[in-house]
Amino acid sequence: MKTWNKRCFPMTIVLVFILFLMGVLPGMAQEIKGPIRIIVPYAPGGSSDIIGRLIADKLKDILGQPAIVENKPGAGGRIGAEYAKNQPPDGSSMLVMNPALFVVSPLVYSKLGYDPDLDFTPVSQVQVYHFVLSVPATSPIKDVKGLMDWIKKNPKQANFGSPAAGSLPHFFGLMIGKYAGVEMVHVSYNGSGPLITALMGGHIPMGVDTYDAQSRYHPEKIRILATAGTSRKHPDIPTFKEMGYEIEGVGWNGIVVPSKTPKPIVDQLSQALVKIMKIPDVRQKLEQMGAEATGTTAEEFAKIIKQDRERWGPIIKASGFKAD
Amino acid sequence: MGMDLLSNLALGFQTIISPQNLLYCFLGALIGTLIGVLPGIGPVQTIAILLPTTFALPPVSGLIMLAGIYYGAQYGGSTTSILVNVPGEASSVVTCLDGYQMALQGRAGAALTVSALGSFVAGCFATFLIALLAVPLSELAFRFGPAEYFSLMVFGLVGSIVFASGSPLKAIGMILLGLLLGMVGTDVTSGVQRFSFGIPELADGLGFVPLAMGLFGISEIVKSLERREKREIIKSRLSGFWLKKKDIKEVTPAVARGTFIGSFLGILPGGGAILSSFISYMVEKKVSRNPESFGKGNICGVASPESANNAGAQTSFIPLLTLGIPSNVIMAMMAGAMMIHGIQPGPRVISSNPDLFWGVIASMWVGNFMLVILNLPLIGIWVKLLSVPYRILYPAILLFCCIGIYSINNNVFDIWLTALLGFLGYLFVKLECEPAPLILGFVLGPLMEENLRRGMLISRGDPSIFFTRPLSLAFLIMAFILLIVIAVPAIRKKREEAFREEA
Repeated sequence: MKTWNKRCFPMTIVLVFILFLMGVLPGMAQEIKGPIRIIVPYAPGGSSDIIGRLIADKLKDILGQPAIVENKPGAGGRIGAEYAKNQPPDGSSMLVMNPALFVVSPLVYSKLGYDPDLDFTPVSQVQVYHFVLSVPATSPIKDVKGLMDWIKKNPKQANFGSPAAGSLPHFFGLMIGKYAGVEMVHVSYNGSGPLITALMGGHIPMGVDTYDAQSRYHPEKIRILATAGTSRKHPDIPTFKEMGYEIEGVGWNGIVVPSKTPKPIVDQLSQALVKIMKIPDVRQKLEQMGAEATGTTAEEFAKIIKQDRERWGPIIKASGFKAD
Repeated sequence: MGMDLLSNLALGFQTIISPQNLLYCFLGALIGTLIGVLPGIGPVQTIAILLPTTFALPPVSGLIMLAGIYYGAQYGGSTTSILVNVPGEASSVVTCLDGYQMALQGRAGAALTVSALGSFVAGCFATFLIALLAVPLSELAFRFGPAEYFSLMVFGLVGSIVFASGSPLKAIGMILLGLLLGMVGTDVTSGVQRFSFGIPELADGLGFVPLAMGLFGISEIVKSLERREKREIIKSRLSGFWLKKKDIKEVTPAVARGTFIGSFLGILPGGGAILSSFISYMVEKKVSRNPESFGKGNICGVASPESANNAGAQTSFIPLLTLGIPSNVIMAMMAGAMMIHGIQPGPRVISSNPDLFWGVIASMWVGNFMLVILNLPLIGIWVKLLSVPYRILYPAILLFCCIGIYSINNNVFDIWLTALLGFLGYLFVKLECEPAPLILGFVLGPLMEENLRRGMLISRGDPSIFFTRPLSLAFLIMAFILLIVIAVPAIRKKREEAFREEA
């Protein structure tokens, strides 16, 4: 009896352990093992970083895994995207991305370090931000119609500023010029801060940027003439649409994971994000910043990306903009 | 106005005097000093790491701490510049020029003291300026359009020839090389990549920290492998912690000039603190009675740029606090810290959150006071560091450089880049080419090009925009005068030499 015990006890343990693994492993493969890293391809402090941190904070409660933000800045987010595509496809790493990385870059770079469609799977669009057209507060232009008239009358001064060359606001401005029938000159700045300073100083007659970047200066320092979403962001500021201009388009932030991530995990993450973007505290924080929480399903998000390519593609191609 | 200011300041001091806020102010100043001393690890990375922790604090405490880290780093940044010629911070590159020479002459203590006291004076003055004139000063930034920026940069570039303590021709060559290096990366106007050779890490251009670290720090360490005996000189002449009467007399106007220049340039968006230290050095060398002693351990060459970079760091808060416009990356992160608390940084902050606005301003004064208390006794310890054998000290510095450089972008590429630039820096040492003009060309070049093209776009190709705007014209005239002032003595010298040869 004793010898049996001596020989067989360890064996039994090994056997039990193997059986245990066999039972558990397939289940484990579908479970997200922490810590979860949310890769933000920009420096801390920006809107992508803030949304990443808000999500990380809530994700750890919902999934029961620690979640952290990893900033991987550089090359307008392309370094972070390239880095993210090579991360383990098990739900433990995701990327915060936007139209610049998934809609514009594939069209303007002949060599891009990642393929938005082959390397990533959409999980959820988490927030949208509206584009705005604004003029200095001292400008005589009071509304969009007045601006269109001014552009037509002063085609030689019709310059517009945007926060960066090749950004959606850049192409949005070109759309406005097309509407007025004037080829406006684009003046690019190093981000929203310098653009707003130039607007306030009256160095450029108008600027295109996002509502969250500009709303806090309206109406004291700059005058927002219109926002570009489907509904009003501010009770006093009309949308282009309601004024009869078919100029539409929003920017957004979304979450994607490496493309080999199993479907059940993508769905699990997607459901978690839908839930997070409904939390009042999250919605309120984004609202305060001038953005809007959305929280779509993975399928809806894939559709949004496709639609945006159809919307912006022709404009970007027509502009002849190439980055390399 | 006077009464308002008093009651506003009272509100500010009431905010800062709470034990919690005092503690965070002290923590910020302490962390700032430490990371300032560590080469490569700058306030940008530190604030990035600590940003999430401030989300749990009340907004005022969080901002006070972050602000403390920022100006604390300006204090600490000069330490390694002076002791081992490794700039701890981007803005203390200039301090290397005369600070390290002073250390070689055994006056490291005096250099550290003057940089701490100069920073304190500058910090106090700048705080006072913010409290008194923040709102009208913020309007100054608006007067600067593309034309004004371009002309200011022209002035700065012409002036950078002054940095040469050797051959002016070599200095001009280095400036041009700096301009060229500054072109690497994405062109702001067209969005096109230049000289990036398909390497995504180069799409944002060469980093300032790898460049400064490589050209100054790494090359100095490589150079030191050649000479063993110099070490003894430093050790044997470690006298003079305190300033002599003569020094104080010499330094006071230099501090005043540095403070003034720094306060002004700090308000302008873009590399305010870096630019201010360079330009104040330039001015100092021009007004000095013995300009040839600059670069060879002139105490004014330490005092003025150190005051300027601290004043500039302080006044760079003006656009953020009064308008909500971040003037540099650090201010952008502060704006993020405010936003996460639901405070919209913008023109309404003064009226909607007066305790925050005045609390942060009052904390700057308190923080500066803490810094000087913290730093003066530390000087003795820092100087003792020099007696650590080089075989231990230098590998340690190299290690810290690597950690710091990696942490900027979490990317190993930057470390390789620094190593390469360090090799380049060593070549420059051997060729007797000075890196300071290169660095200034590197900083000013992109700003100059960007604004030139912006100005030309706005005027639709009419260059008169640079001459018809009064501020812009003033800078161009100043640049022209400076050019003559620099060129005439050089030409005269040449002619004298020619005459001598004929005779």
